[in-house]
Amino acid sequence: MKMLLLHLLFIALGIGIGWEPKSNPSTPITSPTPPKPIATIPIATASSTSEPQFYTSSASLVEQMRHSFGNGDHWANVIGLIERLNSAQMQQALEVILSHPAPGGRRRLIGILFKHWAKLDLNGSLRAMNGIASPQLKHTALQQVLSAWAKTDLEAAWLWAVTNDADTVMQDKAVETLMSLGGDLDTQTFAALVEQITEPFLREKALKNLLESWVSKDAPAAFQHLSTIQPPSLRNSLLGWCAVKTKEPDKILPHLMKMPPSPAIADALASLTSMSYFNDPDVAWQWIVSHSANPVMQRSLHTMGRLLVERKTSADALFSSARQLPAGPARDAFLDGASMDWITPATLDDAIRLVPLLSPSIERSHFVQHLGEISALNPNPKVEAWLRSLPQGVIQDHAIEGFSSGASTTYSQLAAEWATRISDPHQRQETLKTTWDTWSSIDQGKATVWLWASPLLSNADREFLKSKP
Amino acid sequence: MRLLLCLLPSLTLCLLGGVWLGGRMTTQVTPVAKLEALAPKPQAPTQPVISTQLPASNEAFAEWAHRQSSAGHSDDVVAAFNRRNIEEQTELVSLLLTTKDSMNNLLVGRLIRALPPGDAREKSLARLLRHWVTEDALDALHYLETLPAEWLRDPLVILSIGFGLCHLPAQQVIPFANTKLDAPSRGRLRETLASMLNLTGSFENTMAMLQGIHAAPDRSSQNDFFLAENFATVDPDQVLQWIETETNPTRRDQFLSGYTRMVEEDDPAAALALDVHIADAMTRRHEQERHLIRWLKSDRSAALSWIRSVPADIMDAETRNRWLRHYTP
Repeated sequence: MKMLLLHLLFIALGIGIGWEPKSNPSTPITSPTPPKPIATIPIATASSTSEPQFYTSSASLVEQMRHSFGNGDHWANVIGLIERLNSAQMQQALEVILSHPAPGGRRRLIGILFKHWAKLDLNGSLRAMNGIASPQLKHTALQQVLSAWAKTDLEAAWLWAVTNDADTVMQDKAVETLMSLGGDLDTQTFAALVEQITEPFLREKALKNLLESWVSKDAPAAFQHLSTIQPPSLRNSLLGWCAVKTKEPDKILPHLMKMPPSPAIADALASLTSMSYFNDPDVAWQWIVSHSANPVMQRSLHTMGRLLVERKTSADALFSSARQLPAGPARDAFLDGASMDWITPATLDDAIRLVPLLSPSIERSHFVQHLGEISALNPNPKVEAWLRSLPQGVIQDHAIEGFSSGASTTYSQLAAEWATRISDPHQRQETLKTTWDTWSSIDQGKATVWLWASPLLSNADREFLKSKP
Repeated sequence: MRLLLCLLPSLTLCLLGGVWLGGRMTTQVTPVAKLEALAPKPQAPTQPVISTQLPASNEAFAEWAHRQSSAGHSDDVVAAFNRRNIEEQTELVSLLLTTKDSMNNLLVGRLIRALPPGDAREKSLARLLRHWVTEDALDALHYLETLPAEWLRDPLVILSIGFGLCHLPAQQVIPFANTKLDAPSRGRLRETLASMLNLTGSFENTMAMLQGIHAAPDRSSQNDFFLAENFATVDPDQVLQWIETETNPTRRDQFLSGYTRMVEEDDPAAALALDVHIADAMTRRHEQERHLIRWLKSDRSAALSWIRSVPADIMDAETRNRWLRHYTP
């Protein structure tokens, strides 16, 4: 019996020796020993012969990654580490990355990790991705996993995406990701897959992603496919989307010019024109000048005006460009687009000289209204002389409306007094009300005295203001 | 001794067998236990942190703060931050908010909480949250849950978080919204969620949030407008059905306004004809002006022809003349 007990004792002792050192793999991680200085281990430049000594130890890996986080995020080091991991080390690396204190950093590293992981072990990466709690981190991982999966087995990846509806946010992301690959793979296959989607918002997102990648590969074919999409409202929406995303605007512009004009087409043309302008401003300008008589180009000309002044165009250049366009809708649209950013107190005099180039239109009304607003920043006798010099009627009314609106906070009484001179009764009362409300919120006493006593106010306007709370 | 020598081979064998068995037992540790063992542990501070010499400039302080927080010394950063004046604190937070990928949001969030009430704190908070919910909505939600309810009344904050929260499961967002947000903020959050229905998140999840977040009736809410506008693009028949069956005039007006935005893209005249059915005069006028200005600015001749020939039940003579006035020499 004693012999037996002695043997059992030795077996137990052996188990203790064999088990204890390996049973706590986290020991090196939680070791309070300070990490070695990263500079002593040349990770990013490590030669292939030196790798096994370092990377066979998961504990060292954790130490090094953590240490990198604590030393100003040596991104190159961390990325270098991730790219040299084997599949057995991935889960541990994921845990380390999830402990990174910056969400932006976590997300960036997750993307790099899963790109590498999916290549080494697709199933493992998919399982790990499913275990991530944070939605955006999960989606970043998902993008990498699906990108790798689709290249080897698109059908399986698609099936997984469309049937995995326990988390619909992730499902949407999965479908979007797969569709965004359409431009690189067989687009017609992807186009057919979209038609399997019945949920309308998911279908819209899928189409957006498919078309975005498609237009960068073959814009004419993408626009051709676009014309078949139903309902028309979705087609119009996607038309604008494709126009913004295309890099070959010149191939699409002629195609769109032949379509029946509509605001949606006009918007798409404007987006394409601006893309074309970014590619070659001179070519874009010549093209738009040659088509400026076409009514559908109004929005494009507005966009062109805006883009031109973004380049710090001089007043002379703006004059010259405006004169190249036919008087009427085309030139008005162009100057309307230019006015918003170009008119400042410094360019006020030049802008006033532009007014005669505009024809009577809502664009001209808005232009002078904006002039009035800017001139109110520094009201002086010259500004007031300009307001008086304008022909009475719609043009002067809009200049005064702009002036009163611009001056209402700082020069409230002056703003209200000028508002009384607007000739159109409806516009006058609306402007008076806005101006007086602002004044009243600043100095109710003075505003009220003026309301009751000003000889400039007609009785009808006085009653109108009193009647509006 | 002789006995021991006799037993030595068998005892050695037992010992070696035990070592082998122990090794086998080690490999049988469950994957979960292994994962738990591998899970990241909070880093223990490795060195005393606060020295008497703290970086003088904000740039240097930001760099130092980043290093310290990465090494697990956020408390020391907060303590050092509290010793700076308000201007320095505001500038420092602003500086840290530009570091994006490296920014320890939790630390910056703590620093923002240490700022005095006011514009700088509100703007910094909105900026932090906008970035945070975009990168990691779950992490951001945990921080949001720690904020005093009155901090979440700022419309800018609500606008900032809506875009990210829609990534989270509705059952996580609804309790937060219903317990931490007041009625106007809940209304704003619903509005934000409805406006991005076609952009991000999923339809099912966002709709569950819209249904679960309590909102008091609010005439100024644009929630139904955004819903209708987004639905009108992908499923216009659905919106028409809402318009036909809705009995609340405010909701019906919003559905109609959202629907006409879609119609306008293809047929502005049809959109203008539909505007007539908007019950509220101010909304009707606003929508009509919008449609007409956009049309005049995209195809003047067609729009002018329409104005000149429009029947009086769609546009009265006074309104028509006011529009034509712009085109009178």
